Amino acid sequence: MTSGRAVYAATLAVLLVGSGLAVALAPAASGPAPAAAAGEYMTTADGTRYTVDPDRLRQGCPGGLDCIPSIDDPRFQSADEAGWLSPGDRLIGVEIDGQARAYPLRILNVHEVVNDRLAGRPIAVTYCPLCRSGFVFSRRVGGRTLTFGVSGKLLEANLVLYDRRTETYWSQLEGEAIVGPLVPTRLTVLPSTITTWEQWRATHPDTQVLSRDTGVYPRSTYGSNPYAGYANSSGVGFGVGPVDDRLEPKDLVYGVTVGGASVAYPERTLEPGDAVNDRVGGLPVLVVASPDDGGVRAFSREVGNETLRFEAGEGALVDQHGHRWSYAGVALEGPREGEQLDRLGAHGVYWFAWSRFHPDTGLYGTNETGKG
Amino acid sequence: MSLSDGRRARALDRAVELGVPAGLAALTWLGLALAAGFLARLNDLSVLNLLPLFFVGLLFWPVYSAAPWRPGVAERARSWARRSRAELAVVAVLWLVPLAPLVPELVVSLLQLPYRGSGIFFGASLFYRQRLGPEAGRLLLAAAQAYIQLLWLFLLSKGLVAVGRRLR
Repeated sequence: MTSGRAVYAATLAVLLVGSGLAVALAPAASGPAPAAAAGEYMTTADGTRYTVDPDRLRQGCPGGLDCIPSIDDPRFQSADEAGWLSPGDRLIGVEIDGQARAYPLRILNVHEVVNDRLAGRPIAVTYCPLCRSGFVFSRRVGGRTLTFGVSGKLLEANLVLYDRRTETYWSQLEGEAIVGPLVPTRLTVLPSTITTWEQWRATHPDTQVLSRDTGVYPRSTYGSNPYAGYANSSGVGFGVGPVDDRLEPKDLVYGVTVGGASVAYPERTLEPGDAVNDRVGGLPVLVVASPDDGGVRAFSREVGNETLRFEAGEGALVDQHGHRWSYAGVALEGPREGEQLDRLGAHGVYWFAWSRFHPDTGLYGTNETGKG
Repeated sequence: MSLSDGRRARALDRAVELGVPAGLAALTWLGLALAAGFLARLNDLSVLNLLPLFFVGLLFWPVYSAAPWRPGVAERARSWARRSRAELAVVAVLWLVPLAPLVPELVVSLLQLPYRGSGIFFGASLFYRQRLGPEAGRLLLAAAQAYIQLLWLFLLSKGLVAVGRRLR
């Protein structure tokens, strides 16, 4: 009779040859880093480039790199097939060249990063539940296409991404490399909106929706919000320093940065349809909460040699000449018909994170509006 | 018992004698591969990062208990299977419950709870994906999830069977 001990030992040996050696001998799939753009950075004793001291980064989840699984092979379904979404479910909406996609926060709360390709462009849809910040980046950097994952590190409670080619760490809120060979490089931020499913679907009926068949977890994983308790509490934690007390830490603000100056627009001051005419870093800006899709957008009010001023009209914005503009910043009539206002980044984020990253920020609705 | 029945029984005995130690060896290697992949993805030695090593160690629990390095592992496994018939039947039912229609979402979430925990091996699966190809990474993650799910359902079924026996 064959001894069980012998079979156990023999199988261990066979598997060792079959898998263990293959792993040990196969080369790692990583290439040389593309040349970094010129800029200022520091280096550690071992030559690692950084703009943020690596000691400031805090471990946010157990397990190191990719401790939160990204979605790397996303699948999509039509709006009609996405019956599992409730009208009030929030999502990140992206539209490129007329193709729209919705990335529900139910899924992003669990994965935080989706490496996708939309209208032929490689994009990374990122969401930090601790800061409530959603950013969409182009994955093209220095002529290469990067794939992003969750580094497991946090900077002021904000998601720190890493790219799997060079293992450079990237700050989500700043959209730039902070530690690693690609310092100093910035990612290109693409326009996106955080809004409700009901509003997004109304304005983008042909949208595709990220499927719950993520290839990582079963569908049941996406039924509840694991951060509901965190969002409803006033505490932050995660090594965040003292928070500017002009607002509550988790008040939602929309931050606009121009030439190093920044202003935060509290969500409660942005009535849907209203036009906020303001200045940031000397640039005249328009901030609007669209009544169409609920998204908050910021535009430059400089058009040609003229500075426009807007106010709310009947279902549209109206400039000082009485001409109507859509909430997407497109002239609907007049001599500029069809022209598009230059769009600026305006991303919703908890106040604690915005103020920690922009300590000199102005705050709309106070005397400091337009600071900088 | 007919002759063919006798042959079948001997063949089954043989399969158990070979299959049990081979299965335990495969589990040992799955655990080692996951542990090695997990360690390879650590980007610092913080307490938070090292804590899951305890969880990784638990993956070896069935191998420790079966002790395949001691003689008679097949007999021990057979006797364990006889003793745990009720629990194993409940595991099979619980495994199928999420596939049934109209099961409350809360129940499905509870039964599939450890899938979230298995996320700590996603990095390990990428480690192997980069070295052995995408299918290897996917298979490793699926194997880890199935294994962890089995352990979880067995724990649940032990509880359910114990409660059932007490109520009787």
